[in-house]
Amino acid sequence: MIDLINAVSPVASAWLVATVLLYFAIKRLHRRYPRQWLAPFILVPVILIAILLIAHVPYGNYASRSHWLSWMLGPATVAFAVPIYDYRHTIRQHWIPLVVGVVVGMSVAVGSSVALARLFDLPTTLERSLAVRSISTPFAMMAAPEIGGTADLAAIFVVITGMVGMILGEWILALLPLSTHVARGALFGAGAHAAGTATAYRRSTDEGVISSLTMIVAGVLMAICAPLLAHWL
Amino acid sequence: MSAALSVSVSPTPPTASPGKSFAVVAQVALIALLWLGADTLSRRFLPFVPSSLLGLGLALVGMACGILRRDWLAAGADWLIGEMLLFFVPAVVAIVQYAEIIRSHGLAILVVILLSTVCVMVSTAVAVDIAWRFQARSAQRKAS
Repeated sequence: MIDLINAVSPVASAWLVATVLLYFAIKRLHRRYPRQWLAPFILVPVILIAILLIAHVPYGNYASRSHWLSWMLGPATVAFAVPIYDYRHTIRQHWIPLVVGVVVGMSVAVGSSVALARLFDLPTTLERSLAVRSISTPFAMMAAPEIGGTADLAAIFVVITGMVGMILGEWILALLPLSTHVARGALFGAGAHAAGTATAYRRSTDEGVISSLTMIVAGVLMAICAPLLAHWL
Repeated sequence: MSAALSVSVSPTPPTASPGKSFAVVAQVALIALLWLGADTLSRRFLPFVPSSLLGLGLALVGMACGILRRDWLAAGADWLIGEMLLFFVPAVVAIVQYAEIIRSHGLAILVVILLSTVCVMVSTAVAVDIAWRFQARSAQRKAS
């Protein structure tokens, strides 16, 4: 009962409400002025982090109610059933390139992250959290603890990957002669998850669809493989 | 096909209306319930299957069997996927707890992410391009 009262108490919920309001405000702003640095997934955390640091608010205070937002990632993962169902014909039609792209992309993602992390002597927690970073957030956050990373670090790395990938993807496409929209879409979906998919949609709907499918299939595959990877690494 | 394209992670979600908002809220609640059911099931009986995956699988099977109608979930799913970035704001803000790690390893982390992302993008695109050509050629051979 006390927990319930706390849950709706305005003081405790202030950070949760602030996060939601700030998100929708920045989203509006970004729609009017579509600059990359105004993207809500960059600007909202930056503003909140600045406030917490300047006002010396411990993270525990911030997260006491805001963790309900993280909880929503569970239902968000289930929501991917609808696009998978809608695109079942596309998946059936392009399943060979899709499977090849996802398997190669994820192997290279895990392999190169772990190899580079070891090269730089990074601690194991960092190495494992980096390994899952190129997949969509809810899946990454579920997979990270399974292989010895942490969900928080994985989420941070996922966001950085998204920002980096949106820019890198365009550069790589300018240098790499790719004839098919399937290859261009898979590049964004495997390399930069939802951020890459948004970029792919801006380029063309075909690329966007392939990108989102690559991202979803990669996420599902990673969730399945995570327990196995834990033994392996 | 074009109707299906509006679902999923399209960057411009459709504008809201009062009747639609109610449907979205109800459908998000339904999806959350599905997730809760899958989570309970996974915890009690199937600890080796991640709850998120179980929930996704159940929703897919439900739609394929006709127990769940796609239209009962679609608007809610669209909203959840469209606003997904909101849901991981708290996790990103958690970076304030890792100031020490950022100070000592921040640059190395950035280099790892940069290089690894380039590797992933190039290898995926090249592999898919080859697989696509292989598929097209074998389809051609079948046709002739």
